[in-house]
Amino acid sequence: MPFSEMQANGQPAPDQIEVCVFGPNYGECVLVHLGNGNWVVVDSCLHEGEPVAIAYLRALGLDPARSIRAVIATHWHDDHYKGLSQILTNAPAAHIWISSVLIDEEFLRFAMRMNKNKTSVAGHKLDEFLKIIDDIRRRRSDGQLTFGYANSRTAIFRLDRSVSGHGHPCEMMALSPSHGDVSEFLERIAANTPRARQSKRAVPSPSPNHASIATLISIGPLGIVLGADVENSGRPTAGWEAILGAHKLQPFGPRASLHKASHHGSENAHNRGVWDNLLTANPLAVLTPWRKGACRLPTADGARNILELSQDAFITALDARSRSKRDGRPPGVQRFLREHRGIRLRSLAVPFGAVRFRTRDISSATWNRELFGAACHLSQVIKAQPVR
Amino acid sequence: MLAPNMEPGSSAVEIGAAAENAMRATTVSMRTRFDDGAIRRWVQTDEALKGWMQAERPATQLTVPVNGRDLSTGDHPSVPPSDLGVVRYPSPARELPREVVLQEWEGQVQEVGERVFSARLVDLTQDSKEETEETDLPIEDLGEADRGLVVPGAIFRWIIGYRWTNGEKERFTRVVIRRLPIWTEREIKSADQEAAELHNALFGNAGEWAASPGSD
Repeated sequence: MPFSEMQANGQPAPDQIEVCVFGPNYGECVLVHLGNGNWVVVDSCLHEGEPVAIAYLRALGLDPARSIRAVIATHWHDDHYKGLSQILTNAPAAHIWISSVLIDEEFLRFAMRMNKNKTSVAGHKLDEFLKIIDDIRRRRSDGQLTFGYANSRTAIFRLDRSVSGHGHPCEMMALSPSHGDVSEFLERIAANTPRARQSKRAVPSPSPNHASIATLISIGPLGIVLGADVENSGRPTAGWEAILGAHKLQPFGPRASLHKASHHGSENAHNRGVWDNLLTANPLAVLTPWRKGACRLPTADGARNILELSQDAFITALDARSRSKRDGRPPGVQRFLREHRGIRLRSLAVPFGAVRFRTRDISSATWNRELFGAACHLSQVIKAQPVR
Repeated sequence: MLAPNMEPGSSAVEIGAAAENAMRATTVSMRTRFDDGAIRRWVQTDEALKGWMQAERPATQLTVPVNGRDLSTGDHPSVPPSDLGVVRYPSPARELPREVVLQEWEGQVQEVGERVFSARLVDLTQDSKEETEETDLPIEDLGEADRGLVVPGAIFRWIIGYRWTNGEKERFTRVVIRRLPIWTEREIKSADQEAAELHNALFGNAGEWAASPGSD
């Protein structure tokens, strides 16, 4: 990762807003500088074993312990969770926010039953979540009220205009999960909870991910929507439909000029109502890619949906389906892999990238944008042909 | 070999050694009938083996004279004599093909298609604990018994190596789907207890611990 390149322009000024989105092909992390050295981290992914949020802040010459004011875990999937516990270790005073659904007894029963399955070398996807839960339990028993469970309209972080560095008040508000999201999620979890005498299995990832925390950051008249993994539900009570319904009753805040598109730009996450009601015309858009097995996000159609509404849309990395390096393996293995072309072995270590937006012009929302590493314009997704 | 303090016709078997004071109680004397002729021939065989091992001979001589007879010559060139007190069975290990594992992965099935299944891999050869690679493997390469077990979330081992069968060296690959144990009643009960305690620790007296925004 070219952290050295990212250092070139230095830290954001106290009156400068920054949104920096990191994402390899599996994982996502967003850092937001709200002003005057106050940073919020949304989700986490690793680079060379270290949370990118920590590596980035250190590269800018900042102390994570003093800079990170809040950490938001939008949902429990491992592509959004890796390294979160390390962030909290480095920033022990930061507030930690998780979706309210994750402390429901139904989900905890699911997690603790799954935790009895120690059959895989790689562990299970709940390891990092359970570390976060342990941290919250410790904070609670220490009387440290620096944790919270978010629902729609929960105020996650506030910064008074007198200390914001730019004279505008800041507020970060949860747009989801709605009550409908919560009940649907728990139904799915109940259906996937292990029972006695069932064969042990890996942790499933029931989707869609409506129970994740989408947020609106308001800085005076400037708005930023971070869509997490929210998708359309087809019902007014859940997903984007529920958010739009709640917004119609009582607007969440200013229209956003910057949009972290939800669920890696998937077609089912695209909702025209979001663009018409929550965002300004032709906003900046950014997303992170995702891959699992043969599935790749965004698809070309997903990218087209976004590009129709945003000329300035970016992706943090382009999925090149990189082949695994055979070098370093014994010659017999290399020969086997060469001779058996039906067997494809691909490395998950893919080029890493980041997209950074900065602005001082809060009133007109004129953002400066920078691309690092494997980041590119979203139109490249349509042009790129997967390498097999 | 008989133990030095043992008389022919009897043997002592010491069972267990968990606690010294229990040893006396658990020492069991067993009387076993041995055919005297068989024991004599056994001792002769043993002495013959010792002598043969200590003697100098060309490296190509691989036969062992037993009871004064060289089994590679004479009347019984390939059939073992029926009157031997001890029959040495060929080692089962030598009958199995020897294998050298060059590469081993643990995989977790992600998706199952008609002909292939995709999986994420942990490189066990590199002592990795992280999934670093992914692959698509043909379902038809699996054994019949394993095909029904290929479902998302299934765990398997994938090995590439060499093996020797009848002196022939060949490369091989093997995918074995793991038969995972079940969740027991006790595990479920203990997990539910932990979940209830955790829920109480996180959310007990919810009014008192209502979430509030971090702020300045």
